[in-house]
Amino acid sequence: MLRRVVMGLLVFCAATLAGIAAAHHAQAPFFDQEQTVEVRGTVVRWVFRNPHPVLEVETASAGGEKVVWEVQFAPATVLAKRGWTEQTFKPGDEVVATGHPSRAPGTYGLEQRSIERADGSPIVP
Amino acid sequence: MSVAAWCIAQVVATPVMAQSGASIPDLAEIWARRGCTGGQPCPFIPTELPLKARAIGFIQAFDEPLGPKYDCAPATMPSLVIDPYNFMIEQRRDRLVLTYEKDDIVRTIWLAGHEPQPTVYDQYWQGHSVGHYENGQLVVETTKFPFDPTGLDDMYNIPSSTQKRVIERYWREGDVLKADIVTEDPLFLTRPVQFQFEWQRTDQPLELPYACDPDLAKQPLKFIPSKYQDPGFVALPGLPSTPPSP
Repeated sequence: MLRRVVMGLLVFCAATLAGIAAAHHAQAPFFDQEQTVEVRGTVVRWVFRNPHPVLEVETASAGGEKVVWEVQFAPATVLAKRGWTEQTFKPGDEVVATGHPSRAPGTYGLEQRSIERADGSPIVP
Repeated sequence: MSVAAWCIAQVVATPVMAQSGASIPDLAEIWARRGCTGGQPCPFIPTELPLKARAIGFIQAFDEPLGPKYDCAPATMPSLVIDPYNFMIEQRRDRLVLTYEKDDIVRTIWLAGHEPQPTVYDQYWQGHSVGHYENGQLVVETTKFPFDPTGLDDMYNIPSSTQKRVIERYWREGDVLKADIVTEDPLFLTRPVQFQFEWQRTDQPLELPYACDPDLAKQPLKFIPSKYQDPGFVALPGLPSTPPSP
C-alpha cells in the first residue's frame, strides 16, 4: 500500500513537471525564447479554458500609458490538476509574471514561465 | 442450471473476453503519460524524418495560423499521444474505447470480426481502427484518415495523407503501459517511422471535458508575424516570393 502511495506521488510530481512544458503548439514562432521580461500589474480578466488560459494584466509602460499584457498558460486541463480554477484570479489581484514576450511588433503577449502574487506568495497554496 | 445456460451466463457477464483468455492483456485503466522511450524523437523533428520532397515543400509553404488546431480540430495519431494528457482504455467484447483528456477524443478500436465495413470513399478524422490480441499485446491498425495538414505532427506542421497507416502495439508490464507506434505514409515519407511510448497507471480520474474554446485557440495568432509578409520568404524554389501584380 505504502509503495503504491509513494509511486502515486512520484507519478503526480512527474506529471506536474511535464505539464510545465505542455503546449498546444510550438511556442517559438509566437514568443521570443531569447528574451525574458517581467510583467508587474493588476489582473483585468482571467479566462480559464482550454487550450491555453489567458490572464490579462494591466501595467504601465515606461511612458506612463497603460498596457494590457496577455499572459498565456499551460492548458487548463494541466493546471486543474495542480489546483487552479476559474477563481484562481479575480480582477484587482496584483501579480508578477515572467516569461518570453510575443514576437509580433506592437503586441503584448507573454508565454508564462513563472508567476506569483505581488507579495511573493504562490498563486495556489 | 444446464451447462449451456451456465456458459451463456458467463459469456454475458464477462465483458472483455472475446478471444481466448491467456492472450488478452488487461489494459482497462486510466493511464498517465511517462513519455517517449525509443525510436524517433517525439514530437517528431522534421530534419530527422525521412520526408519526401512534397512534404518538405508543404512544410515550407505552410503558415502556422493555418493549423486546424486553431479551430479546435482534435489531434490525430500519432501526435495525439505525445502531449501530457491522460487517457482511459475500456475493453469490451467487440471493441475497445479509448477516451483521451486531450481534445475530448474518443477512439473506437473494433476487434477483428466485429468492425463495420467502410466503403472506399469513407474517411474519418481519427481513422478506422481495427484491433486484435496477439501474444499478450493489443495490435491496432488504423487507416481511412483524410488529408490532415498537421497529421504527422502538429507542433512542426508535418502533413499526412489518405495513405497514412498507423500500427499501434500495446502491452502491460505491471503498472506500466508500453506502446510501439509505427506510422507509414508513402505520399509524404520515404519509409515508416517508429517510436515507443510509456504510460503509468493512475487512480486520478480523467479531467474532462476539454471543451476547447475556438476563440481562445485563435487568440495567440496575433503574436506571430506571418511568414508570407516576410520579404525574405520564398514559398517554393522557382516561384516568386511575392504574388504577381494584378
